[in-house]
Amino acid sequence: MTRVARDDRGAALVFAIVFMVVIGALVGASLSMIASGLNNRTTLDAVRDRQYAADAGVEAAIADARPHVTTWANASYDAPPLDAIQTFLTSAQCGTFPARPRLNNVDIQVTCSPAPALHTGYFEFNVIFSAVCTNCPSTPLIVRAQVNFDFDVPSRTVKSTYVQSWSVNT
Amino acid sequence: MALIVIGLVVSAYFATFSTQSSGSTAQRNLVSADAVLRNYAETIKSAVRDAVNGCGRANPPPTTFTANFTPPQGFAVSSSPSVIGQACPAVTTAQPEQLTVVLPNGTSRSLDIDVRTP
Repeated sequence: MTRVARDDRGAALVFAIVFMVVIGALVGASLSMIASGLNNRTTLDAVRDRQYAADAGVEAAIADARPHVTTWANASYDAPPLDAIQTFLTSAQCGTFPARPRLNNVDIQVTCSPAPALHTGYFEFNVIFSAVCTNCPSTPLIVRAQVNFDFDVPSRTVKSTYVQSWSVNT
Repeated sequence: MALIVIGLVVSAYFATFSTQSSGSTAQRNLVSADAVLRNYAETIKSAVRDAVNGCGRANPPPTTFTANFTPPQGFAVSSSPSVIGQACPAVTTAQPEQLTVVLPNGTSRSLDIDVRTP
């Protein structure tokens, strides 16, 4: 019986290529992980900027609406609450506030609508504010807030504002 | 030839580990900066709303508010305009505040918010 002589020449190169491929895969995976983490950070930063821009938009709208409450409440109150609440419901369509200057690279548009709460003999001047992003690819409605304007009838002024609910979409 | 290839690959491997380490540090600092910005913003908004020492006080009417915030070690925060002894915003306007956090590596991140008197 004869044995065929085997030649080991070239084996080292094969090992080197296998080693290179395996290590290359590990290197690629590591770099991909780093890039993914940093990209996620960018996305989360954009969400934060959007939320605070909407928050600022609603805060500004509440401040803007404050003088209007006096107009909404400008009723005789002779037959409370009907006279005043009708005035509120018909004139408190504060509609669309002028677009605010861009904040955090986000364009925000705020709208509002009356949401009175009825009680015996009086009602609450509650208003719902909705902040919408006009340059976002998704989730345009960001903040929806219900705010109570504490209106003092004798002095015809808003004494304070109270946030009754405040929801944020991410 | 094989030794050269192996040497290059091992070098790349260690370079990747080094990059991963610095990338991880950068990621951690950015996440911390985000938390610092959010906490700073909420601290300021809370200080303005405060019914005892802030602009939410009814009687006597408030004139100023102060937001005290201590960032984590290595981070620095600032705001424009200042939130130390700052005049309360008029009730019909919201006051813009630009918050800035400086990271340990010297880079900075900023966030704009509005605050108002309740």
